[in-house]
Amino acid sequence: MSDLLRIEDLHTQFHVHGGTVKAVDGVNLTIPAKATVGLVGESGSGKSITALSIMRLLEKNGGITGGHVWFHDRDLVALPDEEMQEIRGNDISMIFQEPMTALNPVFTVGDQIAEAVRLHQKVGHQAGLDRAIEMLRLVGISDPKRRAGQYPHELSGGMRQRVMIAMALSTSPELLIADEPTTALDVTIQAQILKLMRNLKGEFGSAILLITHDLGVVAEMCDSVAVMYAGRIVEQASTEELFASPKHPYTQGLLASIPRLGKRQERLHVIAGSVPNPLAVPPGCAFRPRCPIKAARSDRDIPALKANGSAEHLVACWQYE
Amino acid sequence: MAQVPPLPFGPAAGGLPGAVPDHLSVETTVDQERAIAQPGVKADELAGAPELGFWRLAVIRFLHHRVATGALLILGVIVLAAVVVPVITGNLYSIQDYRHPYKAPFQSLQHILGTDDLGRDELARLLRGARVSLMVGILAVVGYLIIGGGLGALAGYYGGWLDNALMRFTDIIISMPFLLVVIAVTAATGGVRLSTVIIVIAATGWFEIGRLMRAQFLVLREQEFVQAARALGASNTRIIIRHILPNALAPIIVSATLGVSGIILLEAALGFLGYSIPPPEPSWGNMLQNFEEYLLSDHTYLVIFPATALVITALAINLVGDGIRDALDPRQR
Repeated sequence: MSDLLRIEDLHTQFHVHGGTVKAVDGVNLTIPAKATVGLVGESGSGKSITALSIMRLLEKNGGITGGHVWFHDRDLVALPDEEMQEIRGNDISMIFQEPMTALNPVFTVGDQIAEAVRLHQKVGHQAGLDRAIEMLRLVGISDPKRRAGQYPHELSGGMRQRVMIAMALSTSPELLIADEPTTALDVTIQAQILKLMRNLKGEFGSAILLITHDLGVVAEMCDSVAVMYAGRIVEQASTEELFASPKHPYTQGLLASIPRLGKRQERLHVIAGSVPNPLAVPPGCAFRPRCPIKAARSDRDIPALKANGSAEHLVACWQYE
Repeated sequence: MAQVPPLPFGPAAGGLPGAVPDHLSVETTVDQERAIAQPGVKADELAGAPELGFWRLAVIRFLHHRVATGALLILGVIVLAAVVVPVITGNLYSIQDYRHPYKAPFQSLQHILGTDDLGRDELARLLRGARVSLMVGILAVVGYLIIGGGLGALAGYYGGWLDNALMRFTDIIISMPFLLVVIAVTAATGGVRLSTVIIVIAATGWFEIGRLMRAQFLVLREQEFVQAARALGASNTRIIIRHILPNALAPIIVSATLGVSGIILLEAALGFLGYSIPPPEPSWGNMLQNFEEYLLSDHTYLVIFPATALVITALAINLVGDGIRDALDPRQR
């Protein structure tokens, strides 16, 4: 498979009161065409900022300070604003965590999907609306004609997320970035939305970058996974490989802390300590203060992401040096 | 809106108690969720309500507000009379009848509200004056919306140094002594003119709407749907006009409505001081000019009529504004 998106040594920083936060600190990640790649990590690990950096949708106090994002043969980091605007929503779409607030409350959902289409294709209002109804049908909304004339507040959370997906896919993008698409939904709806995304991916042939903190979602959806910690990717592998033999102590800790049915446990495993203060990340490996192994050199130097075992399994930890 | 029947108690109608209802296993719609929340009420009984958009619901809420609806009717009559009647009566307002000055009101059909010191028909003058008041009120508010709305939107959306610069500029405008500006501009442009009044009011009074608009944009630009629109490839201009502006309008409409009455009173005050439209053209303000003289004479009506017209119009506009406020934001009540 050819690579659709290749992130090279991406750095994104934010200027906040009290200093500079290195939210993304040298991320390398490749998304093959038509693949589903998971990006996991806890809150504040930089996964959403990575996504926003790809889209160049960072707030004014932040910016990309280094690296490249190759989309086909174009570097999105260096692209002029107008060209980037053309790519957004057309070649790369994004869906957000909160379906309740991500739709404009004063327009009907049909209008909003039609707008997404008309931003990138020279079609009339009616053609846009027809496409909207077609998309609503594709995302499994019954009576799409009537729903297209309704306002967001008249739809339930699950339906709104379907509308968001319809909007994001209406231009058949090559890459869909889904930032915690199911976090705000209840479990049954979550399963339906994930199933829908899987089905539509087959239909539209889009690659998906799925950002989540839910390893269950990853196991269900992704071909490969990257685990992020404090702005860096610490481990990357195919989904089976990562779940079968996690190599980084952080990944091991994450997997061990998932409660399992049918297994008696006195107490759930927890990773000791907490995420480092983003304004004062310790030197060396950022995970060291919480690490059970504390390999030599990890107090001084940051470990690089290197192949370990197979060429596809990458891990950044000194214990394997 | 659909009436919600009282909830039946006891076992829910339809479905055995304890059984998992099948609507939980499929995608739930709002109708179904309502059905779950209110067992016994069929979804289609409620289905009539949700098809309405924000603005149509607001109109319905406004019409339920009796005082505001009444005020709107009165205002409608005033506007209609001010627009239509002077067209029919032509220059009646300026025809002087020296044989019948100070004719008392309600005495003859020819001059229902009597005549003034020069024998001009008081009713014709009142309605002609209404035109001036309403025109100044509406045009100056349009000025407020263009200047204040535009600058406020830019300041709130872009923030940073632009916001700082525009807000300091607003501070300067706020500290301008309005009357002195009117007098200075009138002197500089060589005479009292209605256009001067409109421009000066618009140029010095827009700051309230400007600040309101800025506040709205500051809040709305952080909303997720704005970021979603950006992620879809919408330009800044498109986001400002299509995505943020419609969401920001509600308080702006209220403020603009209340602004009209404020401007009408301001114009009357200027007219009273002789700085609005020059005679023989009547305005409610300059009809009050000989206030003291008339109030203590037998011709009190020459003060009472324009003053009443002024108060009723301003009050009606304010009540309509309050009605709109309640209709657009029911939480504020």
